[in-house]
Amino acid sequence: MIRQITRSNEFVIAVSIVILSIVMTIVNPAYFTLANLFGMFRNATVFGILALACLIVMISGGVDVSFVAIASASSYITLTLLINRGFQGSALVAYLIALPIGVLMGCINAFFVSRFKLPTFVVTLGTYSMYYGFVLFFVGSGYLYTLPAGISAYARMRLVTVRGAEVGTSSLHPSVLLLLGLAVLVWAFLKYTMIGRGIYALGGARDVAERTGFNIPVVQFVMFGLAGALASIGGVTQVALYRNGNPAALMGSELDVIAAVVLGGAAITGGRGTVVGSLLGLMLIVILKSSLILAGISAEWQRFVIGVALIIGTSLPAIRGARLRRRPGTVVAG
Amino acid sequence: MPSAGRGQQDLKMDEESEVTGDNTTAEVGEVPAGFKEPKASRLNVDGRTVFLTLAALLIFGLMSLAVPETFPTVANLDSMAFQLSEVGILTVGMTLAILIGGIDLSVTAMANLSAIVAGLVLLNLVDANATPERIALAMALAILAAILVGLVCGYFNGLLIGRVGVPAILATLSTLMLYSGLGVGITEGKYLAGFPEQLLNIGIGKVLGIPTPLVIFAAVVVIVNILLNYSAFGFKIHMLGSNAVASRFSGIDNSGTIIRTHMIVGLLSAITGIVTLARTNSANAAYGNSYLLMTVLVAVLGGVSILGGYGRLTGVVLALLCLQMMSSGFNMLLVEFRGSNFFRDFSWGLFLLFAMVVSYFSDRGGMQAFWRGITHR
Repeated sequence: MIRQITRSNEFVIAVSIVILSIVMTIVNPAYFTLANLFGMFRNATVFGILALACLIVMISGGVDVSFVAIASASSYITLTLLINRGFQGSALVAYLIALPIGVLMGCINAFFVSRFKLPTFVVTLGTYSMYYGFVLFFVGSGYLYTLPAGISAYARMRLVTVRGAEVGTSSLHPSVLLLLGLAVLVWAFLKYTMIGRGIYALGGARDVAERTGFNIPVVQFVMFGLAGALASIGGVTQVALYRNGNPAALMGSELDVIAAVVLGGAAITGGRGTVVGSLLGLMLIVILKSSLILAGISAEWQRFVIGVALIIGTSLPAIRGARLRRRPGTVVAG
Repeated sequence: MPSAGRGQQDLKMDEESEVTGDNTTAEVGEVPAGFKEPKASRLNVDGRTVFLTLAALLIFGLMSLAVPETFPTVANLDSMAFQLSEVGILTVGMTLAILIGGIDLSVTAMANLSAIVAGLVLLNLVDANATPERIALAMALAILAAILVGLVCGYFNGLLIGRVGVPAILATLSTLMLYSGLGVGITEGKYLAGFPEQLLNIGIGKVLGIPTPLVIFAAVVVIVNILLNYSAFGFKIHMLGSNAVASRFSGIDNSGTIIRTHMIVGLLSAITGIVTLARTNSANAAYGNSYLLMTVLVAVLGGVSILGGYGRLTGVVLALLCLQMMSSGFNMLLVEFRGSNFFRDFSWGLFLLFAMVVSYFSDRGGMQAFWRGITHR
């Protein structure tokens, strides 16, 4: 049992995070403060929600790149609609409007993947371009700074506020709870529902899943619909946290999110991946980024360090997998 | 004894990977992409080539009708040629990476890193009162340095994929971060600029009235096409891409082939980097980010099987032509609207999905299957 835990991918990342944190606390005591922690949580919230969307599709054996386009498009369409109507009510309404748009976009992905048996990566590459192009050309491309009153109030909400010694005040936004809630939901979905297990089965071996009796199209539609829903929630949260609507804000960050999920142990070939692992992988990247600044290394080297971390993070399992395969008599799953 | 043991283990491992290999082909369709080839080989064209040729002609005709005073002009063809060439060279690289059954997400990062290194060489060797000979020497050294960077980056990609065994999409995602991070770090995120004017000859000059980048692109297409279709190495690439297990049992050095292919991809990226450096007279780690997805789009649209093993450069070139004409045409058509290039993105996405659906049905017996597909669901 203990061996099982220490061998797991989550454990390795958790240990890396702890070691990194100890080193950073020694290098710069400002690291081990609530203020810094809150800052990191804030950075991780939107990407965390998006990582959940990316994760469930990756477990099924496909790489989805369109989730950032769905997040941007659904939240920007919603925001434009609300502002044009002069709506001032609660942010909940924004979530509720964005949600079906996200689900619809996810289902468009599912339609092409399921009906025509096309690779997820290619389909979502096309829809990525399509969704972004649609919103930027037909809806608008400008920044929206005057948010509805309800969303502004949501943006100003605070769970806890601390006065940091060096960084000034810093506070925890309630959207962290949203992320945690969604994470628990997705975890339960993947673990305890038939369709959730079907996603793992589909990613592990499609033929076997089919013959076991999983209805593959249903699994795919639910999965992509859920990914679209999560993406739209991430998009609205992004608008609230950064207090403006910008359709291109998340453009290009899909690779960062995929990197986090992969670092968290999800197999890009499908069948493997956990919610906890993905969130830990994301935290590792967020911590790496903020550590560099605190350690006095200029922000320009952030990308490079993440690249190195990724190469180590992806090479080690590959080497370990090859060694396991070479050992006679072992059957390697995945 | 040890040799016998190894053989047995190898077999075990290959049985396993064979099963997964079967899965991936079954996923796309019951018929492998190259299956119908013998039937169509008389004219050496396939359905995709016909579709793309018709699409290209149709787009050209429609655009010429829609904007007759600007689209079918020499000036426009000229400007399209410049825009097309850079993406084109990069796409040839991407095609090679996809052909061996992988992908290379680091192509733009390698191009930018090569351009940055070349730029640094130029800036350090050439000052305001340098003689023409010195400038020529510096330019030669800069190009050499860029090519070296491309080869090394490609080698590292190949090493991760071929020897360490990291899936290509992951390995190159990591190196995308690594190379572009290196570029940002070296330049501190700033633009490198102020290169000698002679450099512009490569970027915006002309050879016999043809834009130099187009000449370079054409040369790349011809050479890579010969390499793919008339050399042993090209055969190995196709073999590796269509069935890695079979290729290893035929005595092909799989990891060596992967490494060499990725070195060529690196080289092509470096050439793109040099052309971009010469055209814009500047270098930056963030150039051409949108090119990355575009190269995949062009390759897939051009009929390159995303699972590897099958694809033709003619299709890729035709797809590139289609997309470029769509993009230029829509820009002219929608010139009075804001953000007309966003409509381009929208149309590209639609076009990709449309082409995939068409090829799905042409793989399954053309219009009949299309009709059945509609009526039975």
